Amino acid sequence: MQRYRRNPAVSETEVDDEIFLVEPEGEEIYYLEPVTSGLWRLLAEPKTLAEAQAILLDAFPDQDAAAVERDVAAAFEDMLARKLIVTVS
Amino acid sequence: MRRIGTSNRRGQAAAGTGRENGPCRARAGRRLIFAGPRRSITVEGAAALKDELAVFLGDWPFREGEGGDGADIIVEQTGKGYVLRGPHTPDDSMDLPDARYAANWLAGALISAYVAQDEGLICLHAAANRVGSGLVVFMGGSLAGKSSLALQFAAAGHRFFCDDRLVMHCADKAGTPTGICLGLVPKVRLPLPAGAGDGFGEFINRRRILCWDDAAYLRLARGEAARFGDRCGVSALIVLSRHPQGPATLRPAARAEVVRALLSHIFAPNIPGARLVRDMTVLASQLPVYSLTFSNSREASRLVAARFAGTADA
Repeated sequence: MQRYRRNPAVSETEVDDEIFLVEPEGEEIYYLEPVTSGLWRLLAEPKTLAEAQAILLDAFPDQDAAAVERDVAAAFEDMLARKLIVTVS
Repeated sequence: MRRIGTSNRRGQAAAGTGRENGPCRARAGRRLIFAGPRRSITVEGAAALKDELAVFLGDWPFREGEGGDGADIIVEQTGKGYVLRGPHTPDDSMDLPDARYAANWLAGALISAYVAQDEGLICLHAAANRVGSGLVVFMGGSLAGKSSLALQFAAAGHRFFCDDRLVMHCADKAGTPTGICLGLVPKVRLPLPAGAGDGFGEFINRRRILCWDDAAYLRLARGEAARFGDRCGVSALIVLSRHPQGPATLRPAARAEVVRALLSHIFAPNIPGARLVRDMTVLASQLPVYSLTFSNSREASRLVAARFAGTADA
């Protein structure tokens, strides 16, 4: 199954608890909202989408499971499109 | 996740760079030559805008001169108005319908060209006044109330620095963040909001030099405004949050909130993104940082002045 991790070329700056990323090719600067920050931290080590979804479901047991899974999938897709994360074999 | 900026941008104080493109190939002929931090900034084809530029640019020095090898900015007249071309223009496909628009965009392009000449310079979408012994910087987007606040401060005797774009060195030779005045004239939206104060209305009316239904440009008196090239150390950064109603409040801001605001309102063509984030984090750490929530600019300016006007205005 496909695994994902942070793009090592991305520059990360943590200010207090908030994370700012710079994608090296386009020099785009991103600010991560809390949930995306959590995913970014998770992806310090390679994870599958299913593993990340399971961790988030554990962290937010009161939330609608389908919505959490959908949000995590969308965040992965977005970060991948912006080259903030990469796939690993 | 939110994209909040790009360090390597084309265009002007909204965005821009000059790194990837050289000067435009210019035709021989007269052009306008503006003072820059390292060398002159040359503009071809802007003779028709000279009168408007003389108003908008206040005391930014410029003269007419002969053509040379290249121009930093080219102004072309088209059937629909004007087009700006060159590496410092945000969108060279945009038709600017009249001289007023064209001169206003050209002023932005000139600021971009100015900042691009010095790798230590940044430009913030911000207003600033000298309050007490230092420069108080108000950050916010369009309609955030920057001009209203800056002019309320000017009316109260605190020297006006800028109302829309502040050129800064993040650290001068002594390590102090320093604002550099370009001498641009302020613009105020009309009609003035209710509650701005009768005295403020009179202050504005006496200084109008160009006026339309929705806005007026003002010429401030010598002593009311800093001049081109004046410098002043920054004493505080304030993030603006304007609301339709409610009292003014000034509270210390979280550092991350200020870094977000700085990165959202910055134009820094010479600074790579990673360094920009680091520099803005340092800036937000070394200066007092505040969040100002307000609906009435007069009330807000008094609140801020009470906090910062402790030392004699220079």
